[in-house]
Amino acid sequence: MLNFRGFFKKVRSRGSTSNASVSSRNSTSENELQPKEITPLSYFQEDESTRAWGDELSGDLLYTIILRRVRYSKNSDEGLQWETQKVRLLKAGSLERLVDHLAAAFLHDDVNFLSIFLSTYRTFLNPLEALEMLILRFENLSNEETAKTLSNSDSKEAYSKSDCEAIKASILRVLELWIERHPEDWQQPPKYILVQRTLQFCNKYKAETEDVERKTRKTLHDARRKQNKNVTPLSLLPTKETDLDRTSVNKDAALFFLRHMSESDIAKSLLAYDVRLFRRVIPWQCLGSVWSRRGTGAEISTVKATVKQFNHVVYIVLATVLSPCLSLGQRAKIVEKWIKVAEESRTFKNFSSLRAILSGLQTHAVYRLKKTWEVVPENVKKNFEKLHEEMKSELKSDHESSSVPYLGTFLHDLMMLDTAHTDLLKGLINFEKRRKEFELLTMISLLQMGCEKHEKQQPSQDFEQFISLIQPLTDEQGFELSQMAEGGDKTLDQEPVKWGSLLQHSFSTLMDDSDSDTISEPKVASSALLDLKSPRISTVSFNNASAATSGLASPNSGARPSSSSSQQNNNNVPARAAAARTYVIVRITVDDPMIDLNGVNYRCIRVSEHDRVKSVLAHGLAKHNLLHERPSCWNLIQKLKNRELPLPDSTNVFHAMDKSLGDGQLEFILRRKTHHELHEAEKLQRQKKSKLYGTQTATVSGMTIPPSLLSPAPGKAQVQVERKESVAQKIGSVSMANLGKDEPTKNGGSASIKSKSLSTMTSINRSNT
Amino acid sequence: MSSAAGSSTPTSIAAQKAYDYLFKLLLIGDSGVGKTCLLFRFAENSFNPTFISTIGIDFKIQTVEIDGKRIKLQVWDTAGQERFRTITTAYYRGAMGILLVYDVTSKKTFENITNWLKNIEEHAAEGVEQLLVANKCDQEDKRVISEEQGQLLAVHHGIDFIECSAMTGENVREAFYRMARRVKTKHESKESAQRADGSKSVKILSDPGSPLGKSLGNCC
Repeated sequence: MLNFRGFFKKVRSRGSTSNASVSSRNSTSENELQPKEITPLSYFQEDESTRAWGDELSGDLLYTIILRRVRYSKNSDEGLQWETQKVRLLKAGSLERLVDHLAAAFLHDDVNFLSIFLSTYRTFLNPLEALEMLILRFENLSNEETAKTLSNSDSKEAYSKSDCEAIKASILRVLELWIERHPEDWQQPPKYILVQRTLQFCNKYKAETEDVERKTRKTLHDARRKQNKNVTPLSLLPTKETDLDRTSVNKDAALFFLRHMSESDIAKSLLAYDVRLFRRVIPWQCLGSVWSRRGTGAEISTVKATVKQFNHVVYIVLATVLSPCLSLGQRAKIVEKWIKVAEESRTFKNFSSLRAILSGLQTHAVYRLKKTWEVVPENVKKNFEKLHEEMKSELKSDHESSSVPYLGTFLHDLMMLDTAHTDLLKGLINFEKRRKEFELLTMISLLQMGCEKHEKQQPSQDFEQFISLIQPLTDEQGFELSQMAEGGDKTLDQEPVKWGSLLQHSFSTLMDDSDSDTISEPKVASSALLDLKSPRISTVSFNNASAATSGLASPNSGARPSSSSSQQNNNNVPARAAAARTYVIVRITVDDPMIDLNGVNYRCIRVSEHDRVKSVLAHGLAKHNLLHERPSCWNLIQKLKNRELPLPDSTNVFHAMDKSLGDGQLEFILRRKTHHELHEAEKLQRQKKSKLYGTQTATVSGMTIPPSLLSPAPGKAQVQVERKESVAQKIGSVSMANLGKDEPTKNGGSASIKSKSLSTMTSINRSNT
Repeated sequence: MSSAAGSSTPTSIAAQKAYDYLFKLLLIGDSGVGKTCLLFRFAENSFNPTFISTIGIDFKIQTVEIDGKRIKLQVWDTAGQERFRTITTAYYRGAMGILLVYDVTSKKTFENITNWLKNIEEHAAEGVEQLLVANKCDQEDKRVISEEQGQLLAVHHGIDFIECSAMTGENVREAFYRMARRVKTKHESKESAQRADGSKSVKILSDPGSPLGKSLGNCC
């Protein structure tokens, strides 16, 4: 490799040849007429000038024999223009022989073998083992008794004394090279095992190992100095906890982004981060077998840092575009700005951030914002598509110097390589595979060197301020904010087909049940269903032919606070999926002079179809950290344009609220009840209770069934009454626990639904007895 | 490659080529579960030993024959890029089947299936065929996820399930064939439905939600 040249000039006594050139593959220059053992940097490829002859096993080393036709340069003897050369290519070897070969390679100027070995050996050997093997070899050669038993693997002759000395010297040079080229192996705090071991070894062979010792101490010194000034990438990945409200600060960040920062400034700042991280990548950490290994991740820290940065850029794009409370125009401008930043990044050849920005804009949460994208100018959208097209062929054409690549492409190829080739060939370590991998690692190293000129680039102060402002989003938050920005009703207008097919996603509701971390609603939302006045709805429910949805869609049932459907009891999966996708995101403010909210204006919560005032109050108070407050002492009031709409305690919030304001505009106030109100509420509660018991209806697992629901609706069949009574008798015998398990969120239902759930109870009862 | 990948009408291309259908399949799952191994095992015959690494290889092609139809499977693999958030709408576009892979010797990869399902739910087209694939079933001594657990998860999500081993080759072919068959069945029933109802377009196979009107090709 290129960096080795200088080193070799220093340590070699013999004349230098430039066989280390990276581009030496297949060229028929005079450089090819080198000793046979030279390891070509690239793996063997058959073409018109070279062909494979066969394999040759020598000791524990397996060679591929290649016949190569070499053309002599014009000024050579005219009689001989071509010659066929036999080249041995190390294909595989036993561990011991490969390690031994290090010294031999050094003696024969086989720089490439050394480079490949040092870059890839971690796939079959750990650093300490490698060091021990080298030391052991050195010690064996130093000891006259053991040295006698060592022999040249080719000639089988025992080493002469001078041979031994030469090999020993080479081992020491290999150690120096290793320390110099791969300090990461040595600079491993806190124990610095390799350093300790080497110093111990140097102590034993003081006379010969001065250079090694000096280099070892230096690397230790460097390591300790480095430890004190750690470089960290942007690290603002979202936390696991879903705290949607904190995203409200993103509006400020987004507007700052829109108004105060130039595209070029942003792109340059991103470049500054990307270059620094990319240059710190230790190429061998990208190797397929290293990268895919599961574990602490310490051994892939430099790669992980670039991934983190990449994902962070994705999250920033999401967070700005999806900031709450932006106007349509502002949001479109932000999208447009990001596309322009992507273009700038393309100019800077920063393919990492370019790809991250495009990925951010293509996450579903952003991509689905139809209205926003419609406002983005056509030419800008064209550029976006163009960038996307280019991205696919990115590295094929743009492996130019000074570019920062998207590392994922390399990781992908290295993974493919790792999978495509076996680690062992006839029981020997497949060195051919390592050579192939090394070719890709070399490309990474070259690119790292190439972008050196950007190393001095610093992120601007504005950018850092922007970064410190922004609150990154999790996927869930992103989706919810996306819903707030543009509800599903318009989407429905444009794509009646899509809604119809939503029902096919039978697993969508179930999916969320299994993940307790997230909110228990599916993310494919259909706030389409929320707008009950929409004439579209009837078409939809007609298409779906789902009784449940058409029931929901009828304006009458919508007006009743207790119209929540019975899908929870129903095992008809598609219907469940459709019905459960009903929620809105609302803002909650606390109106209480006694409570200091630390400057937080509002918090966002999700109100689903089954939420009643009490649960919304509890949720809202909890979000404001008012956990000690009793929900029953508070009122829930919806804030409308010119007035306030108080919601009575028993109301189903979802259905009772005024949704004409649209998504993102639904605002509620929490206000403490007055003494009078509290008194009234208590009285009401008492009355209710006595009434309930009077009609022999139970309060099951804390769920109150309003008596009005149990009285048969006029016109409905008498059957229901009978069933009600029979079930009411049975209710007592039904295990409460069972009911609770089967109907965790049922808050009551309409008369017809009621009968359905009661029949479920009956069946439970039967199965119990 | 983009014309094939982004295609929503496989039959029209097939008319000119030596196959009846072209299906885009994706391999999804955590890193290290052996997705690439499965792919190589499956596409072994088409695998060229003098395989030259081309930067950015995206997919492998394998042609299979099912019920007398030649089906070209274009299998995309996210290998090495799982940790990057690049698997977005564009990657899923045009995909007709997704093989969700986990490793029976790693609990984490099994648990993450739920997250991948969410990603699919969010980004993939509606009605895409899915198959839960448990890999490394040969490593009984290291197994931490039982076959029943896998089966249960699959049933829970209403998808198909298979255990296989890329190492021994057990069930690998079966997994891809099963997927191909399901996609084929779905595709053919859609086709006949379209023939019956001429007014409907084929659009459902492509991404219906592209706000840019024109479909972007695939990335990664």
